[in-house]
Amino acid sequence: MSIRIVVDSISDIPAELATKFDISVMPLIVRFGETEYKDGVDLSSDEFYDRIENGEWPATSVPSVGEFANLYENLSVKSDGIISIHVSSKLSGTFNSAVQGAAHIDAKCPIEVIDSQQASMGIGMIALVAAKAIANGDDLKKVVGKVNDAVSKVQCFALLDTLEYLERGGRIGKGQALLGGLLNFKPILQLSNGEVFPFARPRSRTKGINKLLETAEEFAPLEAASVMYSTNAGETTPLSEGLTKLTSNNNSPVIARMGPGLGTHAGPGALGIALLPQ
Amino acid sequence: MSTLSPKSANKSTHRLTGVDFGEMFIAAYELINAHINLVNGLNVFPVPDGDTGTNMALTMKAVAIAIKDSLDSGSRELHDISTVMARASLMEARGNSGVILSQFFKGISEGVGGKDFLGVVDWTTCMNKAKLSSYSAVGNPVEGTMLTVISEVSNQAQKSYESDENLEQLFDATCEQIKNTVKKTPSMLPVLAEAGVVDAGAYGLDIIFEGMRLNMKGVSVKGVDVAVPGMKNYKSFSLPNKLFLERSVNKDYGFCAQVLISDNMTDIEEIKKAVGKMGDSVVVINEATMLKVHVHVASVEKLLEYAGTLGTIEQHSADDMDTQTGEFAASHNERMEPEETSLIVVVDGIGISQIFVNLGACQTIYGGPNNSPSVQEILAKIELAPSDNIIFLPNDKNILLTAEQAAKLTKKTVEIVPTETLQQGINCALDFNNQQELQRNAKLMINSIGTVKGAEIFLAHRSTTLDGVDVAEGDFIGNIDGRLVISAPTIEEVLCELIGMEDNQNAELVTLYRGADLTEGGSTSHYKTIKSKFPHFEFELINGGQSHCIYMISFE
Repeated sequence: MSIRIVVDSISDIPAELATKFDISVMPLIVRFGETEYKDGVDLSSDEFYDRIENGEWPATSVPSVGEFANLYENLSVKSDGIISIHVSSKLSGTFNSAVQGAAHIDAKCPIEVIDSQQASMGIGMIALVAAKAIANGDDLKKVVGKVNDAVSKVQCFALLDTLEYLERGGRIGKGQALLGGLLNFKPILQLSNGEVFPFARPRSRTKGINKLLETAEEFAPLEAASVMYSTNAGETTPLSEGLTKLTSNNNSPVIARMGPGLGTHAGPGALGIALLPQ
Repeated sequence: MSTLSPKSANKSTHRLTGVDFGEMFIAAYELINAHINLVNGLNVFPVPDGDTGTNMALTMKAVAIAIKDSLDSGSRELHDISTVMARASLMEARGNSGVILSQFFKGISEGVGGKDFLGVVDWTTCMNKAKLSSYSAVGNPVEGTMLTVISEVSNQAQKSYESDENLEQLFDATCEQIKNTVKKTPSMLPVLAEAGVVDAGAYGLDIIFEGMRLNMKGVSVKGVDVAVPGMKNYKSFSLPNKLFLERSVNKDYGFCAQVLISDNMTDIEEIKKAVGKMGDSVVVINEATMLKVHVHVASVEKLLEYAGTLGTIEQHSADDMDTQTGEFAASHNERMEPEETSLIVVVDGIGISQIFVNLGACQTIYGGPNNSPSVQEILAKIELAPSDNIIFLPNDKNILLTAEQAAKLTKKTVEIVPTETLQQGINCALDFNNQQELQRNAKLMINSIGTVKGAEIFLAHRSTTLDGVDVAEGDFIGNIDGRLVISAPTIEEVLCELIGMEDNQNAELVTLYRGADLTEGGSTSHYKTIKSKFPHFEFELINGGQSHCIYMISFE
């Protein structure tokens, strides 16, 4: 018996890490027109980005309460507790579905549903904190304490190639006016207090990548870090090298691909970093 | 302008040649150029906008260049020199002070006529004519200003002539007389007494005459300090007077408007009367076929409507002297929302202004090279900003000091990010976030200043050799980071040469800002050429609308 971790597919946590730490990933729904796919299950990232670069427009929808209820029910039979960590409730209804799902079953173990106030590997990093605590033998209360601490610390920034996807999905908070205008730039957004804010406006990708690294430096030394990308795997190298130097014990950051669920809002050509400061 | 430095040789005290006379005015330019800030600081009348020194120096610069060009091209006779001085000063006249200065040169030109040498009697004629044309150009002549000085200079010439003095004695006496007159300006013009200053334009003339006098005696003007008459503490004097400035912020100044009209048939006196009813500081000049009208008015439309009845409007301009008018101020007031830090920038061109507004600027001020905004203008924008924490981008070296002055006069906290070009300014503004606190904004923006390289393309107005590059009049010239690097007969050649420079090859993005003088079609064709010629760059073409150059380019 043990404590089990649940995340949603917006966490972008790499499959091998999910397997390694026995993390259950609840897929969101990604739709192209009338056709629905389970994020990362029956729609791969490669296929997804091919289709949007060919002009198809995706949309996402949240997992149902029933799906969460079923998952929790199955897990609770063989667990001492469940910690379920989800995408910011200000960006998605997933957290609400999870809370409802947990309330609708007669669970055999306690279930803690956490609003990560994050997205992508911002969620993934928090899940990894939980995994480490569980491996350490911490009880559920202690795990939740460490997770909440990580929620307050984790920083997430993304460099987008275009704002089109984010705007279509309406996932941008105050300050959107700062992102329009005559001049083209590659917006860097920050996830802060669960919302997306404009953070910087570099005029080229190189400048943008440097800006991400400069920003990471301000939070150094780092406990752990992650680099995310949607289509340009090659561009993760400078970020990964830079972040390694900022991380204690020079641990390499986790490289994660933004899956279809997140990619629906970030679009092709997106890069991101998630940081867990010490 | 160091290449213009006249030889300091004793001139004849009985008669001056064209070369002698020209050199005296080149020296006068150099001396006033070294005193710009001092003159600007005294500027409270007619509008306390601190540009009298700049305007007088720019007008004198045009005169100095015209003299040099004339001497270089072999036209060295007195009547040639006085003709080009009069023409250059009129064409380049800036502001009230520049216009009055141009009338002074007009008088000289008329007084010289076809003569080859200038003696005391000729000078007396010149100054008498200068006095007449200066007073007649101004709609409502006010004493205690440049006009009073010119009038005194004319009287002194008459006296010297009558007592049979030579030119040296005449200039010594004239300079002494000017200093006495400048000292008395506050008693003639109450607004000066109120502000605790002497008249800026009068002091400017003092400097110009001092430069002429020294050159005539064979003394170099380099490093010469012309004290402000009647103001012992002028060096430590906090200019301009703070209380006065604070009051002037709340006053309504309207627009400083200029109109050039051709085919006018109406009598000048009638025009002066009509324009005088619309506003003040009226100056009307008739030169050859053109009529030039300068006036401070509340409504430009009314002026243009009237000007249209006089003839064909060839050119018009209107600088907003008010604190709250202007399309941008209006548009900003509409969209003002609470912000932690406010951004104020100096811009040139409607497109450039729009870019800064898009990037989060709450206020833009029109200005730039040769067109510095005043302390009062900057201060007014600071007071209007929604936040008490201000980031200010001067975007020009010459505006830095004015901005610092303005920052001292407000209770708000102002961080000046010392940008020297619009390209740097845009680069810094990209880092601005109005929800972010002041110091963090300032830190990020200061770090960004040096990360962009700027280039400009201009039209060469005269032939010269600069930074080792031979320039022919009518050529287009290209600057990189302020250094002239190329001159060629077409814009396209200059553009290709600038982009192809080795130093730029590690840039990724080249942004072209099209100036107001270039058509959209012209720039689209340039854009196509460079895109196919330099496929490794990413290009962006933006309608900047700036007036100071044909193209503004940034490499990053």
